[in-house]
Amino acid sequence: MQKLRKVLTVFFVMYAIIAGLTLPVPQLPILEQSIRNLYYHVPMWFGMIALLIGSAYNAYQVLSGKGLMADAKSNIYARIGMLYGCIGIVTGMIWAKNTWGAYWVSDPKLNSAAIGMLMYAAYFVLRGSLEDDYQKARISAIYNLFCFPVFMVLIFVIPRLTDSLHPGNGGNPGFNQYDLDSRLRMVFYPAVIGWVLLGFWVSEISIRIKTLELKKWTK
Amino acid sequence: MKNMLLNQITKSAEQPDLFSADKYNVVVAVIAILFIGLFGYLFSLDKKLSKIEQKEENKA
Repeated sequence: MQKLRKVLTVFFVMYAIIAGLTLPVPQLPILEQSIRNLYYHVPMWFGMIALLIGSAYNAYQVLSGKGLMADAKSNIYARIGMLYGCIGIVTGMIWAKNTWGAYWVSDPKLNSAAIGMLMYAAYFVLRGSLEDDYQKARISAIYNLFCFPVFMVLIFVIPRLTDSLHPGNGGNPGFNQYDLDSRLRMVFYPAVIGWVLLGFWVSEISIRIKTLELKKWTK
Repeated sequence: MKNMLLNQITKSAEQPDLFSADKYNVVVAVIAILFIGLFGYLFSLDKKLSKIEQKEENKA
């Protein structure tokens, strides 16, 4: 089962890379061939959100008394989630430069994502500033549970209330038939699944190393 | 000799099959191998970690 999940991860990601580069894409103005970034840039954000859900879930587990292991998981998911987010921001900047004309435009989605990521940066600073492990676990869990919904509101709700350059914002629902035709979907959905699975696989390796460390430490 | 080579080059340029139109497929192959290498390493890392975990369990 574990092995199957890992093989599926490799399969989906490899499929997304190869099919994403070779299959035909619809002709869109301004975007042209750069629409292929949909298969690489957007799954980073989906992966980040999935990992942050994992982080928030484990923060909840900490508060219901599951101990330091849940705290370690919560921390690692947040870390890998932020890694995905950073890759998402940088890839987005390159894409923006070549379609919108600047690396950073004053778009609500961009600014919201930046604010949200700074909030998670504060989470890591908060963790680093506390000495006692149990206190660190509880306080950072509370802050994590505060951060997560605010981040979701920032990137999903605020850009829809105002105008945004991102598709599916400024009042319209995302991923409707005009934004995403079936040729794009055929690669986009497997890409999202693949990159989400990969994020959890990398996190799992970190978590297992942390488990070994904790075992050594308690001996 | 030079003519023959030129002839061959223009010939291959004249009849590209669907996929290798502008040697784009070479880049796709390179990226694919790059990622296969990275994934292979990730798999081996995973295996090594499993071995260490097994050892720790046997100790306990």
